[in-house]
Amino acid sequence: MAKLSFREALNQAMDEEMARDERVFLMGEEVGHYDGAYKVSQGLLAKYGERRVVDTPITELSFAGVGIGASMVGLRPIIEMMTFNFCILALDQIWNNAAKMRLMSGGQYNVPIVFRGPNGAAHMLSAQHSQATENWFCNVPGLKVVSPATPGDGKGLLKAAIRDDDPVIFLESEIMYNDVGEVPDAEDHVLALGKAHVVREGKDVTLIGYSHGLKAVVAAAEALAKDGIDAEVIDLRTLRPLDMETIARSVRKTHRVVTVEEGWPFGGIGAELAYRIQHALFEYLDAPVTRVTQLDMPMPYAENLEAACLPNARDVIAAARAVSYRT
Amino acid sequence: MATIVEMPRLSDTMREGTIGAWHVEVGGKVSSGEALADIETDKASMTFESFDDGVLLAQLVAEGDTVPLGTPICVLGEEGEDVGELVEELKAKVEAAKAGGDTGAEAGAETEAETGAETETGAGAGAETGAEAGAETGAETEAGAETGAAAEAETEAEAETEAGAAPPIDVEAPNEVRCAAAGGGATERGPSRAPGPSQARREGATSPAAAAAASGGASAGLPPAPEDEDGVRVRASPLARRVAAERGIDLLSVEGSGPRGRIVVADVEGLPPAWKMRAGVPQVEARADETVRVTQMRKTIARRLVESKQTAPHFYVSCTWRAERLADLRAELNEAQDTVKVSLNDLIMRAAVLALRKHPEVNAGWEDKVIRRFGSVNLGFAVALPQGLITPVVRQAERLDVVSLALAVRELAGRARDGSLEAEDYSGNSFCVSNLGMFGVEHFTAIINPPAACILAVGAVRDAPVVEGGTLRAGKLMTATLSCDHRVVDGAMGAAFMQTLGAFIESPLRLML
Repeated sequence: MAKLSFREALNQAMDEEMARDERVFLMGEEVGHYDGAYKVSQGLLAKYGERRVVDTPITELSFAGVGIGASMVGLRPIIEMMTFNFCILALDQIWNNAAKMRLMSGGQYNVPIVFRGPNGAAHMLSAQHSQATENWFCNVPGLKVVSPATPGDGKGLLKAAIRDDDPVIFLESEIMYNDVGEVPDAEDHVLALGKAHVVREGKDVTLIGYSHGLKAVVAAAEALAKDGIDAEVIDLRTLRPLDMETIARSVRKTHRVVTVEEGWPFGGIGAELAYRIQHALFEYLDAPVTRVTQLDMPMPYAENLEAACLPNARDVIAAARAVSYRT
Repeated sequence: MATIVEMPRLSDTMREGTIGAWHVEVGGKVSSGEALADIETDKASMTFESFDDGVLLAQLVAEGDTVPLGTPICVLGEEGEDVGELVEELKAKVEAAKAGGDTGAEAGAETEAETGAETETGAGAGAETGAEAGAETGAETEAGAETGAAAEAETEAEAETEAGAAPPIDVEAPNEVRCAAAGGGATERGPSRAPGPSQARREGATSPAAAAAASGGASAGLPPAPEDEDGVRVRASPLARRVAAERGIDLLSVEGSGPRGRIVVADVEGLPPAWKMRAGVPQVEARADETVRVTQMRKTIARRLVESKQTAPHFYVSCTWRAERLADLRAELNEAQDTVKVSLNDLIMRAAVLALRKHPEVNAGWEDKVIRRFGSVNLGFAVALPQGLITPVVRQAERLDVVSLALAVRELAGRARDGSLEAEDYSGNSFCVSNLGMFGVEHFTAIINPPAACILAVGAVRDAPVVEGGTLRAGKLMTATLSCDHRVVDGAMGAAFMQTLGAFIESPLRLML
């Protein structure tokens, strides 16, 4: 298996899909001549030309709309958001058009489009540029939301997202673009959307995470193992639709759940998971479902405060111990 | 100008009243003399008519709720009048009255439980607010106080458990959803509540896998957590409850090792099956305890009977009499007239009236400084209703012949069953008759029903061997027991009365005179 960085894996996914299907094109701020703000689109302009790698003005709402329109008439756009903080400007197009067009046209139009880019806190970007937006998108019926945690998953899931006939919000992590991981050599590595992945099997407590947050989860699981708590780790991979089957299988075994996310707590991914788990698996629970989240406040700029604000392995360990009645 | 309507006194013995039903909706017009509400008193349900004209601006007491006399129950006024503040104030008063007015142990426990739940909700909401305030001001202290992760998660988890465990939540869920959708203030409580079933359906539609997982794990059969003798619910995790149920373990006998004594699965797993015996016993469908609201009537019965049994020194005189002639007389009487079907009990009551006329010392009551010998026989008789016992009183029963007495008894018993007795219909008996013969009861004793000093407990007329002139033959017998208040009636007095009564029963033609 090849070892690739996250940005290389994503680049490969787009490259392969553009080569495979000429309807696929990339559009966004600085995706072309600058090779992408985070170099994810490196080399694509040279390879596919300006018709298929389109630099846009700084007008998220407009190019999101152009992309949705293009998808309605048969193309398969990938819209790069320089970060999802900027994507807030495009929410009207995404919520009102991308998510609803298929329903409101009575199925005449579908919207095979991918909005991708970095999401969540990176490093000292302060309150306005550190947002974890996943729960906003997950709240909208009609959207699929994907957030990979490894380069290999990034490639397989992005390829699946590009091939999907519905709008997909594809959330990457700026601080993971340099992460190196194994990427299957298979000629066509595609992972199914809507399937979670059991990263580590265990019997004592289920830890659920995704994207960058999964790092804290895996580290916590290793520390807990030394302490005699055998944690099962689930990487959600897709946040909507949720793979409740995989989660249920795990909870029936462990009876304890900790959810981990880097977004805010109120109405977050953990809130949804906690609801679904208690509703479907009530009598399998030996402890309240517990979540670990970012603090309920705008992100501070200072490095130490940012770190204090974000969940880390220590928080996950404490939560796992609490639900295991091992405090 | 708003008028505050208070819980009225509708009977002499009434101390508190229950709103049975409101006849006027909030916003509805009512004029003087129109029915405002049904009020359940200690004995009967009565219609409460408005004294004023106006619009009903607020109902302060919900249907089924009980408040002491004088507690505000609603506000009348002019259409559109703003009484918001007044209503808040009055509601607080009602709550205080309710809390202070309930003396029963169960009521006390209920109040405690409710308060506890509210406190916890309040604490959760407070924490949220604190976090928000901190966010707005960017206060570091808030960040320090809540780690956002584990520590906060734990507190929150506890709060959520509380909310999740409380049975009324499911019922309230749809309401919550509505509130949240309307953007109301209820959203703060929203997150810890289960959304309504409609949401689950929608999700099922978009995500079949999730729906399958959900239905596969549906928690239909989980038994409720047991309550101890004091009605305190055992704290146990859902899994611990399921495992305990599967193994026949009585959670009341298990010590919990979790937070605040929560029983977790580790506490039940190690126990041998049928800990504190349950298994091995034939599987009978478990039936949970239920609590039944104590009605006004039941409260009165409880209060008055305890009072009677504890203050009146009871003694009992039993006699068994031949009853063939009484039974024959009844048959003949019912052939001779069709005004009313006379019962054996009617005849026995008539016999009691006649015997009491001969023994005025028994037709009496204790009044501390004096003994009252009642001038008339105000004859009480016990009527069993689904909700309790009531003893209507036939006034001046000595003026009624057998048929008239039977008619009066039918009329009062009918109104007792309708709940339409007035206070004077069931108070002030000078003597009382209670008959359980229809249940085949041969002999029993009754508790004296004040102000009377005696009550006659009548058993069934039964076929029995009797000795007549040295010969054994088949006959009919009945046994009656007089309960006497020894302060008023001595043994010999009670016995003499019973002798007279027995003579009327055994030679019943005199009942017709």
